[in-house]
Amino acid sequence: MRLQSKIIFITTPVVVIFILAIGGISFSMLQEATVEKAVGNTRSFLNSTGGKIQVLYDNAAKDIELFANSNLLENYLLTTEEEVRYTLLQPTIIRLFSSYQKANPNYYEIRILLPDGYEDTRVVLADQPNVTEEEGNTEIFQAMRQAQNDLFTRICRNPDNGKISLFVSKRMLLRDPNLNPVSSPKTLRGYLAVTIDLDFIDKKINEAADEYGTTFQLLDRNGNIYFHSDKEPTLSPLPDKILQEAINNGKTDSPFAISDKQRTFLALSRQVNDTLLLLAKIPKNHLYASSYRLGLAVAFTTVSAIIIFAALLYYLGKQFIVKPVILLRNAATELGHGNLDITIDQSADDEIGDLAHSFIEMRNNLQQSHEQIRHLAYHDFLTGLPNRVMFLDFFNRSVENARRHNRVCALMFIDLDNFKRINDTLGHNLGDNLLRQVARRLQETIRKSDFIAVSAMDDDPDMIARLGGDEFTVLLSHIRDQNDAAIVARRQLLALSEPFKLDSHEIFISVSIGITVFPFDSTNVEDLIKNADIAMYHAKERGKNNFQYYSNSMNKEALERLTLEGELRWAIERNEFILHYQPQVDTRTREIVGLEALVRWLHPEKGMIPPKNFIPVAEESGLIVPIGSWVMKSAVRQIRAWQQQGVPVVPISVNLSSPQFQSKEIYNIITAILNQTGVPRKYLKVELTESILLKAEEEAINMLHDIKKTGVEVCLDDFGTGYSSLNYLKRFPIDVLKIDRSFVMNITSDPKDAEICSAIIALAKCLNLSVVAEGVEQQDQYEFLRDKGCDSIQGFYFYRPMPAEDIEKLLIAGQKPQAETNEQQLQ
Amino acid sequence: MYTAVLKKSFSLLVILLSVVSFYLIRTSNALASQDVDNQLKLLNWSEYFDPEVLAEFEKKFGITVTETYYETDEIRNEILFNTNGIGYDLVLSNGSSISAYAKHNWLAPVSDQHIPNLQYVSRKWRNSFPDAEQYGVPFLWGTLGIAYRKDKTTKPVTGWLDLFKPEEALQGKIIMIKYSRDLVGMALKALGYSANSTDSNELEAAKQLLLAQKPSVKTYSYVTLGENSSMLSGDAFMAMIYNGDALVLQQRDPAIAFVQPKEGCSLWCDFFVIPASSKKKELAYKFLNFIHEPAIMARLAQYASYATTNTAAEKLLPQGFRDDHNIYPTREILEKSETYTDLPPRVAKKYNDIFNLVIQ
Repeated sequence: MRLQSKIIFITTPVVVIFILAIGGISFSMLQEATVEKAVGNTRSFLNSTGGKIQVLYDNAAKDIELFANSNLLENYLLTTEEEVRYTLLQPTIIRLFSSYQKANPNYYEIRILLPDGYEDTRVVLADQPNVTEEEGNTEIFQAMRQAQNDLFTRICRNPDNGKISLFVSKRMLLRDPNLNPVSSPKTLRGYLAVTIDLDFIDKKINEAADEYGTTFQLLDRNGNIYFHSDKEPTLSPLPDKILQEAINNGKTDSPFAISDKQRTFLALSRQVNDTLLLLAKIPKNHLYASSYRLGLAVAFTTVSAIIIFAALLYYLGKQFIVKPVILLRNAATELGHGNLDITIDQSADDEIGDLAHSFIEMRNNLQQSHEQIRHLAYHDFLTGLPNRVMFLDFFNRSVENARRHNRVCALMFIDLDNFKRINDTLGHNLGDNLLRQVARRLQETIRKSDFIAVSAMDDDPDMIARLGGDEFTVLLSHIRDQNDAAIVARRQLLALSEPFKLDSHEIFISVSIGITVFPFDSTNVEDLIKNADIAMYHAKERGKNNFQYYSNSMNKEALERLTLEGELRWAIERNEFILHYQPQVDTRTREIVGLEALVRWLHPEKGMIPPKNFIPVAEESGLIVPIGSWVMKSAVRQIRAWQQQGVPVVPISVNLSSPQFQSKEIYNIITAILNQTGVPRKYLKVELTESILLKAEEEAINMLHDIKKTGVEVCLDDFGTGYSSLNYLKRFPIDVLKIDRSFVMNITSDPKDAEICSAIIALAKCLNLSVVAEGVEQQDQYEFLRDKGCDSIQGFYFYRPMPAEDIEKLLIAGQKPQAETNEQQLQ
Repeated sequence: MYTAVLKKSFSLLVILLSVVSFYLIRTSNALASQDVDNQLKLLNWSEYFDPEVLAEFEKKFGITVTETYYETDEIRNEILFNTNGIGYDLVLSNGSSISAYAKHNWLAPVSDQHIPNLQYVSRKWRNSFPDAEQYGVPFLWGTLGIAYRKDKTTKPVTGWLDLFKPEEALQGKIIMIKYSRDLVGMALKALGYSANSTDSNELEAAKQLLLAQKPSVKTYSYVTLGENSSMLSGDAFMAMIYNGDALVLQQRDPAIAFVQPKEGCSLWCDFFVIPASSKKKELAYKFLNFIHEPAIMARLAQYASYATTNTAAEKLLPQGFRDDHNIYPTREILEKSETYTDLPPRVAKKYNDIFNLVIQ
């Protein structure tokens, strides 16, 4: 059985029994109330009708007494001659009776009957037939005559009109006025008779129809029924037993049960007077029919309530129990199919909520296990690096991304040289240990690749994987050009050239690295893998411990760079660098107020190598640091030399490279050389680029402050090209701003650049910094800058960079520069 | 004035007040003025007796005559019944009531001894009604007919059916005499029966005719003859009326016509009777003798526009008066007409029943 059905089957009977009980109780209460109401209504009807009839009787008796007291009537009755009576007197009597009738319209017949029953006078309301004028033998007259009392009342049918009427009469006993008024006997002169319309009773009991079909009877104690509202006569004549019961209950008003052959009734009776009784019969079937109707309504209500309840229960059960359970079931099914990303509503604060909670817990555990399994499936057990499967997947995606974004990426195959021998001699444990250490060092080389990766935010991180045995792959997913791969390769060779500690052993290893570059070598994943492998074997063939590109041209380029780097190392030792200086001229006086030291490499075979050709190599190889130190030292020594020669010196600016700036050595070097030579601090300035400041850490900033404290001025190079945050100017102790040549170049043609220059100069003035513009090549540029208030100018318009000897002459001469044409060619 | 007010209050009393209070008032009125010696109390029709003649009589004999008026014969009977015939010295009665009064011992007999001028009175009229010769002094006689507005009727009015089955224009504009013999009798005449019919079928037919007419009837009473008469004001267009009264109205408005119905009518004669209870019979004789002085009677007849029973007075009447067939009907009409005879008591009762049904 479904849960839904169970809930309904369990709950419904309880509610049904409850509702049925309420229905039953209300049914019986309604029935009781119905009976009570019917009996009450009937009783009050009987009382009011009985009262009315009684009042009628009473009034009739009083009225007839009043009528009989009339002198006219007495005179009339004492008049014996018919002729006199009828021609002379009767109209007056008729008029009298008519006036009574006008006052009492239900006294529809007022008559004088003579002792022999002759109808002497008859006044009727409307023209009514008169059956006979000789009433002597009629039943009513006989009864009237034989009655004990002078006042006589009886209900019977009026033969004139067939209507049940109340007959009230009074014996007229009069003394003859001609005789002794005291002693003479009264003689009967006739009867005054009033016939009273009882239609109102008939009307009243017929109009009293209630919803139970109650009928009424007006009857006398002999069981003669005068009026009834039965549609068809029932219990007529009334059996003696019932009549007796009606008489007995006539005063108490208590209901009693009677029945005829077909039906049973609840009866009520009321005694009207000595002779009359009112009887009401409430048919029980109708009485109960109405309560059965009520019962039916109750039953209907009950059934409706049950249906509504069941529907409500169905809905609520569905909403709050079955639906969550089904959701859980569906979730379980989903989970069974391996979908772990299901979400389940745990908000319910009940067992189902608990169940959902447990379910989520189970899912989380399952997810963890899955993760572990997946990790095992996708990672190398030994090193924890991604395994072949994951690598291939990742590589595919990276290549796809590179293709989409037109990027360059490189794949490197790394194979340990002679690993088999190490394994054999030292055992597998140590071999494994070694592989783990190799993996760790390789990862570090990648982590240091921040200056190689185009963006640290790159969505494709680099990856190292172990494909098996001693074979590793490195994926550089986003590089600037193929040379970046060489840099990494060299870093790796270097990192792995350090000895490894395995237990007590210290061993040296080397690796062979094969590199292939997308998209230059191939755009196909399989081909790239093949290429890398081939390149790796090339490296083995080339005597191991090296790297090889798949493409020869790349190899050549790499070789050249490598050669250059090697030569650069030599160049430091052989002192192949020289310094040139470019003067800075005061804008107003045109006097030389400073020099910028610029390094030049004088190669023994290749001649002068321009800085752009070797500085990147120097930076990548880290040789920039010793070169930078050399420049610093050389520049200071030059000042010292000129001072000793008596040449009037001006401050010299020396560029600091990023690695230099990062290493704290530079402070020591500066202070050391200055102390060593005794050159005043004011003759040395250091220049930093915005990009260096961008990466500056707290320590470096402190160092810069220290340098500044010694009295060496700090100059911000290339201002306006980078982020040019005003924050620099706050955070760093800067003395001089150098407007980048790119702005100066277009100063006269591009209004925007002109505006920027003006703004920088204005800004510097505000901050009390001096401004140097570099790259000034034309007169109008100079004039613009001069007009804007730039402090000094550096550029071909005045001087190109020159060897120390030429500068020396200029300084000695103190000459103001004439023009560009006067400058010596030094490039 | 006094009489007018009395008359008015009278009719109101009859209709509205209970008979008991009515009875008391009547009695007290009668008693209040009883003991004046030279006063003669006369129960009479209104507008019937020439006031100048009355004044002459009063002056001549030093007698004050107090008139009490009745509206119909029926009411006169009632007045007398209420006082048991006591309280009046002279009563003007229709001929047919005399025998009943006499039987009830209300009347004092009259004779030529008391009233010498009775010699002028036609024997024909003196015994025209039972007991009339012994108790009554004939006064004026007349017929019963129909007065109508010529300007309001479209069809010529010739017979009783024009009254009992009136045309549409007359609905609610008819005044009928409130007297059982006149009502029932003329209905019988209209149907071609005797006005004294005792046949119950004929009476039933007459009853039905009267009941059928009832909705058209404005009132059961008697037309007044003064300037405010409803026949003059336009409240009534047709009326059952005694011939002389019609002529009085005609003098006031020529649009009023009178017709003696072709079926004939009742021939009536009024009599003066002296109640047995009267203590002033001598004065009454003087009065009766005075009015039957031929010259006086001639004036009285002309005043009321009725034919007189006094043959000597008749001779003094102008020729035009004597030739007026509305006053002196043609032989043809007279032959078809009847005087009311005494009915058997229980037939009279039937007349009463019919009458009551119709007027109630």
